[in-house]
Amino acid sequence: MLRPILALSLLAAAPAAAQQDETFFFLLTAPQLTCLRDNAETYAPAEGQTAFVTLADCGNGSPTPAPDAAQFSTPDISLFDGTEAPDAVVALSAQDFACLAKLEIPQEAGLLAFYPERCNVEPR
Amino acid sequence: MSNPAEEAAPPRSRIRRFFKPEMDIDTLAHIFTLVVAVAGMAKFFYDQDQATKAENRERAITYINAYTEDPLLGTRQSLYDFWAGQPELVAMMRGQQMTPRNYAAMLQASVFRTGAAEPIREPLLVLDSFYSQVSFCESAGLCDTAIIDRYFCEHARRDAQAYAPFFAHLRTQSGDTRIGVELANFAGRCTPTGAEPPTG
Repeated sequence: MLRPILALSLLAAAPAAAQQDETFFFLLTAPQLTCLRDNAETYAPAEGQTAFVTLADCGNGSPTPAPDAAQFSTPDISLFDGTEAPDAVVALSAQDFACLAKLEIPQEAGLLAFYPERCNVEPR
Repeated sequence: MSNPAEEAAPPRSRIRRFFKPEMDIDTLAHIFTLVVAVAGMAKFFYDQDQATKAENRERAITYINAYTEDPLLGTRQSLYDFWAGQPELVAMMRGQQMTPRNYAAMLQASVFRTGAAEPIREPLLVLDSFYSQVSFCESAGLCDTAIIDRYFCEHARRDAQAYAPFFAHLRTQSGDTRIGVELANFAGRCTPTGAEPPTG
């Protein structure tokens, strides 16, 4: 049980610059990204909160409310390898929706990588 | 034409062929000693093998006991509390098929950048350390593989998948490139039994 202590001390000593993860992005089609932008009023969360949106349901009214039943174990996740598939879900903050509002979305046929933290969109 | 007398001779038993009447008592005693020595060695190796297997079973059971006691019990409780506080994220994880990158991005966007994952940093390190020990014990032949796989394989596969982005996040934060690696190795090589793992 010595390793967790060592790793924790490493975490405490790590310089701030090293504590940044690689910038994450969501992989979406232009219509999906446009739908999120156009429905910002419906989906945008309160300050400090995160909105979870299923892209297949985008534009179909209010997002599904959070389930009441709490999860009391590590969830089983269904993951699949697909580098060319658009993402099924996104998690966005109020700032991300504010970013989307002023973002020029390229109307390309392929997939777009939306970088919320950089407030940037790039064709893939 | 064969000799009828030879055909009529009764076949000699193996013992009679081996123990010829001309053997003296000393030769027989030597053979007997040799047989006893070989049997003794076989028994020695058999007993040693059985003792090793018993020790390996005992070590595997020690890890099962450790999984159901503190600090692992508290660690697992902290992780469960974390998921209980993320009902929307859990609903997405259960209801949608995601790529590993989409899952990691969901965590980045919801729990890493908000600091919601901070309280489980230490529990994750304890969990990783535990799985590293289990994995080493099994791969070094010191723990009974069947028992380890039967009890831990399903748990390890689920944890390796669910916590992979958390471990990647911790590796980036700490610079310790080993965090989560041994769990992923064990989850990749263990054989699930197909039955639901014990909940203990």
